[in-house]
Amino acid sequence: MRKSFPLLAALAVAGMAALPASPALAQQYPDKPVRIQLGFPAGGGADILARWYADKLAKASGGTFIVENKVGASGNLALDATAKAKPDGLTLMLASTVTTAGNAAVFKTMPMDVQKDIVPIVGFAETPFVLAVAPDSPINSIADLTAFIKSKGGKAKYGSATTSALASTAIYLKQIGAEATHVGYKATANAIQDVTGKEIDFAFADVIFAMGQAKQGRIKMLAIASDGRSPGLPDVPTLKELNGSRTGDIVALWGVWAPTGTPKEITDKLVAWTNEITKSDDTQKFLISTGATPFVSTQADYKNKFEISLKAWAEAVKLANIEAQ
Amino acid sequence: MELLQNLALGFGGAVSPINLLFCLFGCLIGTLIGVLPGIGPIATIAMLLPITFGLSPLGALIMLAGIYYGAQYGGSTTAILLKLPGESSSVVTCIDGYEMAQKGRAGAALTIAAVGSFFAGTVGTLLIAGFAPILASFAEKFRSPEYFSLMLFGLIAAVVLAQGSIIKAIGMIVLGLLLGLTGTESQSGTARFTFGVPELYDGIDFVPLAMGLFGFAEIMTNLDRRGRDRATAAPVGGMMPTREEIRRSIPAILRGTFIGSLLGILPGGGAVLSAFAAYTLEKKIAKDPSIFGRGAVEGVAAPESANNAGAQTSFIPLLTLGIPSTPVMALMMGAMTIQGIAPGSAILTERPELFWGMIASMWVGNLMLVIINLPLIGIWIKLLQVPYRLLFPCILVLCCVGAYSISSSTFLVMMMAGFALLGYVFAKIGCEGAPFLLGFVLGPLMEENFRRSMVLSFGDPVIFVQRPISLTILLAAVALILLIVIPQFRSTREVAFQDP
Repeated sequence: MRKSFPLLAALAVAGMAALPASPALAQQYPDKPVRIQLGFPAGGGADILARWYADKLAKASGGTFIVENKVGASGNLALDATAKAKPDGLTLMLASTVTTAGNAAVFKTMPMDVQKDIVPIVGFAETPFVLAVAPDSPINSIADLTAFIKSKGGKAKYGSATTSALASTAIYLKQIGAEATHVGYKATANAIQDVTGKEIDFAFADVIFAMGQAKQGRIKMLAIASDGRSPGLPDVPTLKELNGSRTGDIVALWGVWAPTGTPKEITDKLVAWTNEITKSDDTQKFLISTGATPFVSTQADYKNKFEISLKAWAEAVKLANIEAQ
Repeated sequence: MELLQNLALGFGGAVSPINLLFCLFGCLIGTLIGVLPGIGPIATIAMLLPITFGLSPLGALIMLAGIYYGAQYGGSTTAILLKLPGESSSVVTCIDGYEMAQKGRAGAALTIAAVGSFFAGTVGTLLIAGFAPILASFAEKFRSPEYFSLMLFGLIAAVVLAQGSIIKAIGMIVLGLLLGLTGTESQSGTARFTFGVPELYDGIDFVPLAMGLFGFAEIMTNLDRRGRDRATAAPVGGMMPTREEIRRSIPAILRGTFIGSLLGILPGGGAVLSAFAAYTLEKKIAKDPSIFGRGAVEGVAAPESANNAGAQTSFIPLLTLGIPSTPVMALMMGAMTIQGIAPGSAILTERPELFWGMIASMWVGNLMLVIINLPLIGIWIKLLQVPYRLLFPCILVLCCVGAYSISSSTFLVMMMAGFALLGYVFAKIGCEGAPFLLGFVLGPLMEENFRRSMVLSFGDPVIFVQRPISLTILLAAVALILLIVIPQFRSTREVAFQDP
């Protein structure tokens, strides 16, 4: 095994090559590597988003930003690590309002307080859910689907792999005043496969995956669950415009978070850098191609969205009767 | 003819000097992380993902794919030399590969693993090139009820894996199954067996479990033994297999490749089964099953071929349907998305040069890996000459680094230590780890698919026998049980389960 050590070092160097070296400007933030906590595993959609922004933040600031995948308990481990970190700007978290506001509503006991221990700094992208049915299904609109669900008297089947999908369905079902049978999945891909194969009747899927599947004609997208239409999918109507379902309030709005007490000079810099990145052409192109909606905002805007989300999640969890742990 | 034209297009892209370099780079890194215990392809690909932002799409995908199958090749090295399975597929390689190494046949085992993997990789690549859409539509017929039946069949077959008492084997499978149920349940979202520990909400991670149970426990057992009789290091031996070993390996490689290719295309769990299934088949059809567990060369050749064939064919659902079948495939999907490519059938029509380039690069990558690995075997087996007092602390440290890196927390390191103790106890009381791990891996998949099937059918179990594929697998499972319990077969079984 001794032979492996030089190789291990080479591997580490290869990994670091992506990140520019930290300049020796001790006075300037970030003078040390910044660790970005992420509650999702390496390689998923959240991870790609995080690495995209970490890479750009490093370029914008001249510092080093490292993504740490602190996976577990639906993101609570990352929340906890952030809450307990020193508020010096060297520990940040990249998370959506689903992890922060959603977990606060879903979990009976939280390791930390999302309103007191961490603060939203700046949002950058919304990743909505899309309601999908089989491509050859006679259901062609939300009105059709609503009629179908009502005609089945609780026996229409829907799939979900995430709390967001479950809560979005609950809000929609409440709005139309009907019931349906829930089928649980571990991955959205499997739920959507069962939609295509007509094992189940409909499912909410994250937009990035749904877009790819719709493009191949494997699903039909009936509506999007955000307040506004997605720039990548201008033809897909929102649930809100179709029947007033307020699924947009629980949509995932991604942003940068920090432990409470992080100095304002640092958070101001982060707001400026992040907005600059979000506005840049390549980021816009990247976000829109994945179905996300770019979100340029002040700290107050993001905080406001977070508070709306907190309230909406508390209601949605009750509606969906999601087991609190 | 069209296939040849397509392959020509693919090779045109894949063998450009820059892409060959990406392929070599990916294969080298993959081999390296495969050899390092606990650091898997998932973490590595994720770490290298930002580098690929600036590369050409083909170059990026070639490099990442190289890491993936490089890790498949490298993973067998530690399984054979140190009894350290890096992932579920190399667990069975540990059984006979490690025994071969103990007998001084480490070089031969590694050579056969590499050659078998190359053959299987070639077949897998050809299958993707020629039949991807047909195979994908077959895979699509596997839904929750079919998966349940398949997993059930796998668990019954796991009994055959056991070398000692059949009762102990069943006990170990059930114990593994129970441990596998830890975490959030799929239908209701209820947390089970978590005792309020947030780290357990997502279940027990496979890597620390396998490293603790196999690698660490083996170290403890070794130290225990060495303390008493101060045995010298295992003999090293040559790297060339004997004529007899080659003769026995060839059919095993063919069978392993067939099983691996078939199970690899099933999204969600099929690939897990391939190595186990190949091993089980070898043991079942062997003239003298008692050689398994004592260094049978078939026990290395078949599962290694199967897992590499499966690694190749697991690209099929991603490339044709846009469905990632494993976490690594989900990563590849992410890499494609960054490059502005929507994975799925559209690649074939819109970006044929990319599709065929990737396929050609798979074969080039496999060839490179054989060329890289054969000379390395000479180096790897020298590891066995490193004094054990120096070797084992290195292994322990590397395993701890690997376990820590999974979720950047010490929890998994502590958990690994706990499983090491458990593994030591298992070794002392003569219980085997392989059936335990199979129960752990398959149990939760079986339960999840069972519960989902029952919800889909509104509680009617007829769903499992209504569907032809599910019914066929269930009948095969019944046949397997009969084979084990019917008295006239008992004599064969006695041979199969005799204590070595």
